[in-house]
Amino acid sequence: MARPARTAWPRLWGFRYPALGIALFLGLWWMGSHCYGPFILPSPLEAGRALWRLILDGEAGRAALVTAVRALGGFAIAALLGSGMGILAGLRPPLAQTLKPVTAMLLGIPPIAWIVLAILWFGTAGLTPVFTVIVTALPIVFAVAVEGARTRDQGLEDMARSFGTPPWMLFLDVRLPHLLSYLFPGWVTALALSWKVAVMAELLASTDGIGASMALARINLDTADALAWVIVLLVMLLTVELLVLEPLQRRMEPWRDGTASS
Amino acid sequence: MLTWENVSHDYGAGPVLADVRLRVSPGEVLALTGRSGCGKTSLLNMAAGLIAPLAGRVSNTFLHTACVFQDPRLLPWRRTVDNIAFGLKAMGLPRKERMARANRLAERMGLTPGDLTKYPHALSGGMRQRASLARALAVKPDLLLLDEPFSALDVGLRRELQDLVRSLINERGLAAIFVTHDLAEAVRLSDRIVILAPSPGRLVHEQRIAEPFTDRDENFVRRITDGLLAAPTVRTAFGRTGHVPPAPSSIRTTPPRMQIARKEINKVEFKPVSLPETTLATDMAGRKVLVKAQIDKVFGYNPMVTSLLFSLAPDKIAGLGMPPMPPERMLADPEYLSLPVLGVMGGDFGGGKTTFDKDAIGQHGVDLILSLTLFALDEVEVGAAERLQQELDIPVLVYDGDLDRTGEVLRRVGALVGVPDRGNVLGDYFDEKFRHITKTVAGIPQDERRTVYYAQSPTGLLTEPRRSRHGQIIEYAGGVNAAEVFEQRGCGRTPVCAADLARWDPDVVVMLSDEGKSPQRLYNRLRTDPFWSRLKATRDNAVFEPPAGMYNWFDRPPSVNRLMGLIWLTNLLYPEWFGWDMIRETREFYKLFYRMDLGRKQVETMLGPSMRGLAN
Repeated sequence: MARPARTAWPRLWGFRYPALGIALFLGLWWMGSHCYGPFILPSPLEAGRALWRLILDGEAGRAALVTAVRALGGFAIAALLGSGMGILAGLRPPLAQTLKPVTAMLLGIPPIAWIVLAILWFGTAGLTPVFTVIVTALPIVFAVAVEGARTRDQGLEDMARSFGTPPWMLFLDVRLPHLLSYLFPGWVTALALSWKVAVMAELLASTDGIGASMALARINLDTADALAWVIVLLVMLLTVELLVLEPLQRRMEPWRDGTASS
Repeated sequence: MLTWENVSHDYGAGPVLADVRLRVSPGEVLALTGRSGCGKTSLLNMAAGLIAPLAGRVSNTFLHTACVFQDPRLLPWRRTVDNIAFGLKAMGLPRKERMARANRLAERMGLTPGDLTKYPHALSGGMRQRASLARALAVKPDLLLLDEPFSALDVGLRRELQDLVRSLINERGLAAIFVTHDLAEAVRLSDRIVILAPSPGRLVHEQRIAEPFTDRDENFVRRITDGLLAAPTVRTAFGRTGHVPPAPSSIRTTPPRMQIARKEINKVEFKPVSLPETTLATDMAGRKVLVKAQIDKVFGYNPMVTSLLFSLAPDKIAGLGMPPMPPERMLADPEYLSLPVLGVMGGDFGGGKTTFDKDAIGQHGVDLILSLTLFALDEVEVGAAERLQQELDIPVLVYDGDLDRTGEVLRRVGALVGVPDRGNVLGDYFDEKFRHITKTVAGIPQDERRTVYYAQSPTGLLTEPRRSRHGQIIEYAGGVNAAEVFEQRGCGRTPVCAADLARWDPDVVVMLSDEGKSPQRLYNRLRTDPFWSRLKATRDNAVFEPPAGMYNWFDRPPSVNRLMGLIWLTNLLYPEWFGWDMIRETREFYKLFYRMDLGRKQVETMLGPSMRGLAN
């Protein structure tokens, strides 16, 4: 059976209210820029022009790439470490109890404090944002992984063991799908946080990336540039969220659809 | 061989088992029974290797042991067929082989192809337990461990599954251990009953039952159960102080016809009277009824059965339920149209308007009455069948009218009325198409699904809500039934409120005017009515009247034609996913099911009005 060509119009029609919201927001922005002048709040047009210039220069792409590598790299390390350790800890209660106060402490420390420490330890190199992302994202992922592993279904595992299931299959077919239903929301939260923390760390402790460019815009009192950078950041965030995470989740958990095949 | 040698166990809160010695030999069916807390499940878990005893030894020399648990324990993230193949995957079989084996076994277990592509949460409780049984049998065990496998099911289903399990065990010559707290179930199913007493668990009584399984009727089960409970050790083990156990629900196996015949013999005095040759038939409620070996006249509760019989064996229809409707007059031969009208009835068919002409049924020499249920096969339906059978002295068999079991019904009824080959051909055709549709539908992403509303005369504000059988084509075709209200029992036609309909604002409306008697009436009204013309479906020209030929394709009656209805609706809803050639499908169906050669033009006329205003 051939894959269908999607009819685009009904899909677009479903976006009419969100589009209205965006239009309303842009309208308010415009009015604001009229009231306060372009120095305090440049109009969307000016911000767009600044953005276009940054894109043509290649500056936007370069900075976005640097920040993306830091945020996503830090997140990937945190997700791997956190999930792995969390699952282990969830399966071994003594380990969970040992690590619990540590993660509670890590969760309690604000990201800005980590940035200060990181600057002292690593200086203003690229390592500072990556480190900050790791330490802020790790405890979140760890906590959901522990919870996922702790709430596994003993009945299903007994069933699997009664069939003499090999350990790898027990993990992949029985434990992992349940774990993923916990891990996914955790990963999404941690990823959103990673972006914010990466930009903040760059702003304070780096010479390149979106954060550093924003710091530069602040020094030059160039509000239009600052707004353009905010837009770049938003686009990146939404791209990752809508194009990567959501389809991935739908693909991995088709059984969540209430009426999947009835 | 499986042996428990002087086994004792303790979970930390006092002894659970004390010095239990027990042995199961190959091919033996053992029932472990007793009150809850007597350690029966612990014994079973030891046999499965899930726990080790604190003292004593459990040795299992069977090659493969498989378990069935009280709850089905299916993986919610795997489709039913993958769940059935789980044990095979654990054994390391390649995917192709384990799918083939799972499909074969599922069919034997009464799971339909539609069930196999579903996730477990979309299955009914009985189907889940069947899947769990199939998963255990798939690994070809020589020892089957069953932990109260039937206790979560309702009565009719329980009996059906018990029979199925026991016949599967006999077929394969397996050894099996049942854990149950129901003594009657133990008597019915096992070769040897072991009764345990609680705190701590120990054996108190043992009894062999030599009677072959097929000869154990209700009286036998009751007699043995009473006999067991007469022993004081057993009575205390079950915590009963003297009172008689509740009688198992009795299902009569000999119709009164036999008794009357016997009386006649007495009356006519010594003149030999030949009794009709009979066989034992089991229906889908698990009832066993004696029917004639040669069946000539069959009558149904409702037009659904008439259509089933018309496709299988038109010469055996005893009569029609209602005077023929236009779609029937259009195609049927004079013999069909001149059949006597004997009335309809059913658990609650026709909103209680029972027009069953019982005298006429007696006069026409009906051999067998069939029912296809419009609701879940429950005790109401079974009760109605029992009453009718008693009143008319004619065997009444009940079948499940669910669309996805139509293939099985075709095969079973075909075998019953003496056309097993035709039943198989039609059933296989149905299942093949149905499997293709459910598979394709399962691949359509959720956000491309379209909502459908089913409108009925006179106002269009009568519908069949989500999960009802009258409207189930919508869901099988991958549509989302817009009406989410409680179904009205009886003849359906649940009223909805116009405000709700405006809020649901469905993508597509399927409408049926006057049960298909005057097509287009509702449609013409909708186009001009201010309320209806505001709806999205009307504006998009997505209002369709289902075609009809012999019977309506969609509903009223929900006949075997619903296969065509399913093809028709999938074609309307998701033309990009299904490349149906409607003309070819229609001709093929009518040729196979009704032996009718329809011309191209004829089919086009039949499809005509429904093709108008094709959506998108």
